[in-house]
Formats: sequence, C-alpha cells, structure tokens
Amino acid sequence: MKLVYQLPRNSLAWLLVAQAAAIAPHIPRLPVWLVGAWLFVVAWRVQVFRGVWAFPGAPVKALLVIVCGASLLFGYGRFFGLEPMVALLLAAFVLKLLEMHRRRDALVVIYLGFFTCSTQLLFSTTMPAAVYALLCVVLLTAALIGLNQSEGHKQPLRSVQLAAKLVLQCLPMMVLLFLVLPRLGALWSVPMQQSAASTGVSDSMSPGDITRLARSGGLAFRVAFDGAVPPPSQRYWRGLVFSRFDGRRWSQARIAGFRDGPVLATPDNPQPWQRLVEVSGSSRTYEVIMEPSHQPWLFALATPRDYSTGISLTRDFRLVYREPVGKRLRYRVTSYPDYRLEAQPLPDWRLRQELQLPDDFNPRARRQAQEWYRDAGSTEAYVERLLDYYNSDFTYTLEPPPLGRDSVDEFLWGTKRGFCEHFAGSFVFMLRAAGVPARVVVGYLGGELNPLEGYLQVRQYDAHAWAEVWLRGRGWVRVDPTGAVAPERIEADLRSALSEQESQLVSGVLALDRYRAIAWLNRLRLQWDALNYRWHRRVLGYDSTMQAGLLRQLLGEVSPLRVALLVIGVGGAILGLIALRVLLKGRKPRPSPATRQYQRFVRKLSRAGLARAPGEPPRDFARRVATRRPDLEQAVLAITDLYERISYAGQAALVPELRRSVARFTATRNLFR
Amino acid sequence: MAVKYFQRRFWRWVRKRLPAQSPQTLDRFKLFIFPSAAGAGFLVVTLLLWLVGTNYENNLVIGLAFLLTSLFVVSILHTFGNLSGVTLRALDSVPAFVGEDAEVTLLVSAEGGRQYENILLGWPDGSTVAANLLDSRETRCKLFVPTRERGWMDPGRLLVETYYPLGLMRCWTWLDLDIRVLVYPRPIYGGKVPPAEAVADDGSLAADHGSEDFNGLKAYRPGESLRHIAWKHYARGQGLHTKDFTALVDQRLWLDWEFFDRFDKEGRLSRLCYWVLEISKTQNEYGLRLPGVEIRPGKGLEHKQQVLKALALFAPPARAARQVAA
Repeated sequence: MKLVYQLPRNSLAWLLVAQAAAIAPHIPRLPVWLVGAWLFVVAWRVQVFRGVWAFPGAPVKALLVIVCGASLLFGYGRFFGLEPMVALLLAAFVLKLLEMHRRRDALVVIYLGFFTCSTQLLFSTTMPAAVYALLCVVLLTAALIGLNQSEGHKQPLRSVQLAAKLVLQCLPMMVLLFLVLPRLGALWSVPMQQSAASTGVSDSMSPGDITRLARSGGLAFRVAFDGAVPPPSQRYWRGLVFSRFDGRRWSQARIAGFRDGPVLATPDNPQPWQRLVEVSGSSRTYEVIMEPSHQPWLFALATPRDYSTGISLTRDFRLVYREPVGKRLRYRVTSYPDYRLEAQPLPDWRLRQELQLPDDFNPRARRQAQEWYRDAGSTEAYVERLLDYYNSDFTYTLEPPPLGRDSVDEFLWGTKRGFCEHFAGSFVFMLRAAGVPARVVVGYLGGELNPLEGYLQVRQYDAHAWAEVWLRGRGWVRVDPTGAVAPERIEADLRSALSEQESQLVSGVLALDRYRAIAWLNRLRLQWDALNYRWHRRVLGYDSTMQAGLLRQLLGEVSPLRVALLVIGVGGAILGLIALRVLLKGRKPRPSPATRQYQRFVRKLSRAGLARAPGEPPRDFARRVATRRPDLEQAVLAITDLYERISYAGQAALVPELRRSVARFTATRNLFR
Repeated sequence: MAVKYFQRRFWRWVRKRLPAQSPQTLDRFKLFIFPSAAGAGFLVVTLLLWLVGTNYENNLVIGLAFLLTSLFVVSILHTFGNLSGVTLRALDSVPAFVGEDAEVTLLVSAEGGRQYENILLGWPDGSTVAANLLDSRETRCKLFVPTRERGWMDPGRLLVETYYPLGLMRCWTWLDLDIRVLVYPRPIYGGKVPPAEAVADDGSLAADHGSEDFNGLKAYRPGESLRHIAWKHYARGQGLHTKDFTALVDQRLWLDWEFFDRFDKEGRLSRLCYWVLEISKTQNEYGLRLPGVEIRPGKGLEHKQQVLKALALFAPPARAARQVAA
C-alpha cells in the first residue's frame, strides 16, 4: 500500500473552519443540494482523517464532478454569469476536500478559499461584510500556518493568534497600497449578478405597488448637496414617467411612440428635443450614491441639466444609466428647480400619447370629468376642483381596500381610501378624461437628513407617485394630489401622514428608525448610517479621481517618482516597525525558581572543575559527575532528582527543599576532614 | 559544463562565507531567503483577485488583493525571523558501520524570548528533522546520515531551512558544523568464530572442529554450515537443527590481519570487524594485530570501541600496502 500523507490535524481543523466561514455567506444564494454535498464531503473527509473511511476512488470522484457540474448547468441554465460561476467555484472548493492527499492539495483548497472570500464581496460590500471577509482571511491564514507547523502540533489557538497578528500587521501596508496604487477601470466586461430581485420602483404601477414598497425600510439612495439642502416639499426625486394606462396598470410610453428623434440624449450625442426645456434661476448640484436596484433608471430633481458620464437623458427628461444598476453607483447631477418643459403647444402625436385612455373602463369617471371640467371653465380651476374633492373625505392609508375592474370609479366614489398611487392614478385619469394632457410620475419624495454628515437618506418607504399636468404656456407642472389629502406627507414624511397604528407598518422589523422617540437609540441609528455613508463615499467610492486629489494634497505635484518615493518611504517605515517587532530579541524569560537553583548548583560544580556540557541532560551530567567524584554521588543525584521532580512532575512544593540542598552542597574537597 | 563551473564557484563562495564552526548562530549574513513555489502560487492568486476587483470595480476585492500582497511581504520578515537568532551546535555523533545511518545529535537553542517553529534540519541524502523552540530555549535533535566508506566521515553541509509561518517564503542556509562521524568497516561474515587455528596466544594450536565439545542443538539459521546440521533429527521430522559445539580453548584471542590473506584490504577489515562484534558478545578477551597496529587483548565496551576505531582508521603502512598489492 502506498504511504499516505496525513494532513496535520491542526491544519485540517482550521481548513474546515475557514471553509465553513468562507461558504456561509453564500448559502442563501446556493442551491440546497450543494450545501448538502458540502456537509457530506466534510463528513467524509473527517472520516478519512480518523481512518474510518478511505479516499474515494477515481470513478467516484469523476461521478461527483460530473453530477455537480451537470446539476449546476441544469439549475442555472448557463455557466456564464456571476452566480453560476461562483457556484462552480464553490463546488470545486468543496469537492477538492476529497482529493486532499498531499500538502499541495491543501494549499489549493486554501487558495480557492481566498477566491471564495472575494466573491462574497461581489454580492455585498457593506461594512459588516468587509469585516467578515477579514475574519475569513484570518481563518484561512490560520489554516496556512497549520500547514506549515510540525505534525502533532497541539496548540490550535496559537495558529489563529499568529494569523490574527499577521493580518493586523498587514493592514497599514494594505491601506497604503489601496490609497496609492493606480486604479485602472474595468479591463474587460464581466458577468454581473442577475438573479437578484430588482428593488425600488418598477417600470409599471398598479394599485398597491407603492404601498408594498412603503413597508420596506431598505435604503434607496443617499444624496449630498453641495449647498443647502432643499426643504422636504422640494425633494421630489423623479424616476419614471408613466403615460400609458391599460385600465389597471400605468406604464411608460412606448419608445417608438416618440417621433422627434432618438429617445436618449447624451452629452456626446445631443438631441433636438432637448431644446424643449428652458431653465432659469439658481441650480442645485448634488451627489447621489445609489444602492443597487438592478434597474437602469436614476433619480434626480427636476429638471436635470448636467450629469456624470454613463448617464443619458430620456425624452421625458429623466435620467437613465447605461445598464441596470447592479452595484452601488455614485453620480453627480445639477438640477434647475425653475424650468419650463414643453411649453409650446404639443403636437398631435404628443397629445395622443398624453391623453390616451382605454375605452371601456371607468364610465362614471369619464362622465364626471367632462361635467366638472365644463363647470370649472379653465384647466387650473378644474385641477382645483379635483383637489378639493380629494380634500373632502378621502383617507390616506397604507391599507387601502382592494379595487375591482373599474378601479378609478370604485376609488373615487366608493372606497375613498388609498395611497399615493391611487390618488395620482385617479387624478391623471380624471384630467385625461377631461382632455387635459397629464401623466403619472413615480420616484421618491423626501428623505431624512442626517445631521452628523449633512446628507439625505432616501428609503424605499419614501417611494411616491404624483402627477404632471400640461398647462398651456407653462408646460408640464407638478401637481401632487396626495398633498390635498395628507399635506404632512409632503411637508414632513410618510410616518407623520399616517395614523400611529399604520406608521408601525412602515419599514422592516429590524429598522431602528421605528424607535425614533428614544433619543439615544435614534442618535445611534444616525451615527451608524453616517458611518455607512462615509464607508460608501470614502472606501467603496474611492476611485482614480479621489486618488488624484489625495496625492495632490500629499505630494503637491503628482509624478511617478514622487509616488514611488511615497510608497518606498511609508512602506519602508511600516516594514521597519514590523521588523523591529518580529526580529528584536524578545525579553529573555525569567527562569523558574527551580531552574535558578539548579543553575547555582551547576556553577558550584563548575568551580570545582566539573563543567556541564552544553545541552547535557541533568541526569547524564549527574552520572558523569558521580563517576569522576564518587564522594559527591549521593548529593548530586539527590539534587538532580529534586530538580527533575519539580520541573517535569510539577511538584512545586519541593522547591524549598531544593534550595536548602543546593545551599548545603559543596563541591570543593574538604582537605581537613 | 558552465553550470558545473558556476556550481563550483557558488560552493566556494559559500565555504568562504560560512566557514566550518560549531556552534553557529544564524544571522542575516548567513541566511538566504526567496519565495517558495507556494509563494509563487500565492502571488498568482493575488493577481487574479486584483483582476477580479479591477474588472468589477469593487474596492473591497482590490483591498483584499492588497491585503494578500502585504501578507506576502510581511511573511518575508516572519520567515526570516524564524531562523535568525537560532544557535546550532554539534553535540556528538554515534559511530556507524558502513551502509548504516550514522546518528548525529545537534543542539538547537535560542537566546531571548522569541519562539521558533518547524525549523527543518537535514543532510540532502539523510533524514529531515523538525525542531521547535516553543516553550523551551533549547532542544536536542537526532539526525541520521547515510555512510559510504569507513574512516572519518564529513556529512557535508547541513541544510537548515524553514517555511514557517505561511509557507510562502523559504529561508535557508547550509551550515558546516565541523561534524566528524566515525564509520567502522561493514561487517562481513568471516566464518564461524573463532577458527580454532586462529587463537592461542602461546602459539599452541587448538584442535579442529572434531575435538570441540558437543554442547547441544539449536535451531538452524540460514547461512550456517551444512556440516553441522543434525541430519538424524531432520530425518525424524523434527526440523533443521544445528549441532552446537563449544570450543573450550584459550580465552584470549588475537584477531590477525593475516587470517584473511585471500581478501583485499577492505575485505580483511570487514571480516575482522565481524569477528570483533561476535567475540565481544562473549566474555572472551581479544586483541588486534594489524600491520603497524597492535592492541593488547582486553574486553568491555571501551576496548571494543578502541578496536573498531583502529579498524575504521586503518591505513596500511607502505610495506604492508605493497604486500597486499602483491
């Protein structure tokens, strides 16, 4: 039989722990069978270590690889894509355990562990995720240390302590490299996360959609204004414009429906329709850090003029990104609150678009709209009439009753209880039915100011729907029918607009902002969010622009030579400090009392010409002395015996006796005896 | 050719830089350090992580790649620190017979309170031993090194290396600890001991085998003379036995160079060596006569070692060498 290399116990133990730690954050994303396979393989490997089972033979291994590969392919339908690739990596990481014969195989497993640890960061970049990844690195390092310790190492904690020490020593160097080494943007395109559910407002709206969003406390985006933060009632974050209604759902106008050029305009590729907006007055510049929504649309105040690269302006004057926002995105926008949009008379095709209604829905609303419009006389007065109607006896609620086929009729004259999408939808319906061009706009309203860092955080429960009405000579004007029912929603926030009982429904169970009343808890919540904000801005958002700024600040003028000198200087200093710690001789440990006594005894013998050889065991020394000086035999053996009993058998109580014996001991010949 | 030349130059340089000495304390003048194969693999992993981080524009993955880079750099210091300051001292060596492994004891020690782990010690063709200095300041290591010819053997430069803590770096040195190992001749069966005609200090020859006293039967061992097999017992189906004879002759034997004149020098020494080992198991006294060497009969461990050492170091004087050649 072939001699099998047995991985040291310490190493295997840390390896399994590190693997578990690296896999754990992936478990919710993985197919269940892969988790099962992992546990099975771990059990098998432990049995191999205990000598109960053997390693699987080549056919079994081939079968496992084929079964895992095929299951992944069938499960995901493809291999190219972030999730299937990570699952494949994890399958390799797991199955390699059964092939861990040699030291090199264990090394491969540990290196795969570093990869797994990094993929976890592709899915989550929060601060806790980063700390967790650091922990994984410590454990993987401990496994690496275990692999390089002697077999039969019995102090597993030493490995992890040393690993932690090493990783801590590496941190300053890592920060230096992170800050200074040049950033190249993406070198080639890579598959992004795909299966993740898109969050935030979606590309259509039917009754209940925004109500559902309002119950979520998730963060949508953060905004930092260059100047003063506008008041809550000015914080209408436009996201989507809905011009099509099918009786139940509001959705975007068909792209092909626009007849004056391509629907997307970029700074490089301006479109003639961009002339339709005229801005005046002051502007607001702000930076948005958007959480991944897996949707392409961005949020901005009306009406955006300048924006970061990669962003396009659409025909309905909102911003979209070049791809779905799969990871946190930072962009800058300058908006002009005073604007006139499409103020010229609308061409026929535009009128058709903005007046479209399905024929056989909501007959009562159609009738009533024409009647009221006639009574009002002007569009402005008609709008006032509608808002008055909402103000009369409607209720703003998170729990609106369900609506049937003619949803507008039922809402306006039946239930009279609704959330913003009910108000905006019915409002636009009534306007269109009366021949006034109008559309629904969806986005977020408001945002909570973090007083510590001065930025706004906009959460999912800030999602909102309002209307834009086209007025002759003024163009599109924002009208928010919700304001007629619940002005607090616009002036303050959602919670103040709802009854106390309903406001409990807002946001998830874990969201700390349910406890705003408790001052210290609220302060803690704001501090935590401010910390997250800084993390996102300074760490996750650190890019070549920020790097250039930092280097200019540090070096004055940025040149490769100066950067190299900075790296060498600071890096050298860091390494020098570590070298001092590692290489300087540690303080000599104070010998134990028994050793001190024994050393005294050895000195006495040495003065009598009986030196102990270096490294000579006490017993050998005693025997050598006894053969040369039989007169000392009894005393020497007694002292050696005492010393050994104290040192090796732990009989510390014998120390005084040893001290007395050594004190009495004399090696010089007594000439006068 | 050129490779050999540079190898020679290199070892000459090593000899000059690291002269033979014991004890030796390892310091930066004596140590070499270079990334190991595992370290090269680690760098590849780091580079791949950096590519992932760059392509996904994920600062945390880039940071992780930089953390691993730092780990690589910092491990240079730690691996170096795991040898620097260690003192090696050759304690003693146990003589061996040609073909056996000689045992050498080293003392690995360190001043100060630093801890050392998994220091690998060994000769290129011998066994490798791991030394740890965790909670003690010194440890004794027994190493084995194969022997090829008798006499004083220099086991060559001891390879002291370590990969601890991460295995990414290899720190090593070749030390000459001035070790000499005494190698005795390889014992070769030289007939039944002692040949009757071989003994007798007073010159009278003992009788041949026939006059030895029959002492009993013992189990046959392969290689024993067929003449002494108790065929009668074998015929009765009691297995192979040998008739054991005891030569009750003079207790003082002289082992003489001339006994094996049909062999060459090494052959004679090997057979004499075998006899020394055999006789020293009994209580008999024995002496040794080699050209130019005479050891009076004696017994005991020290005497045996003295005789074996004489065999190990024997170099025939010019006249004897000529005789052997003739």
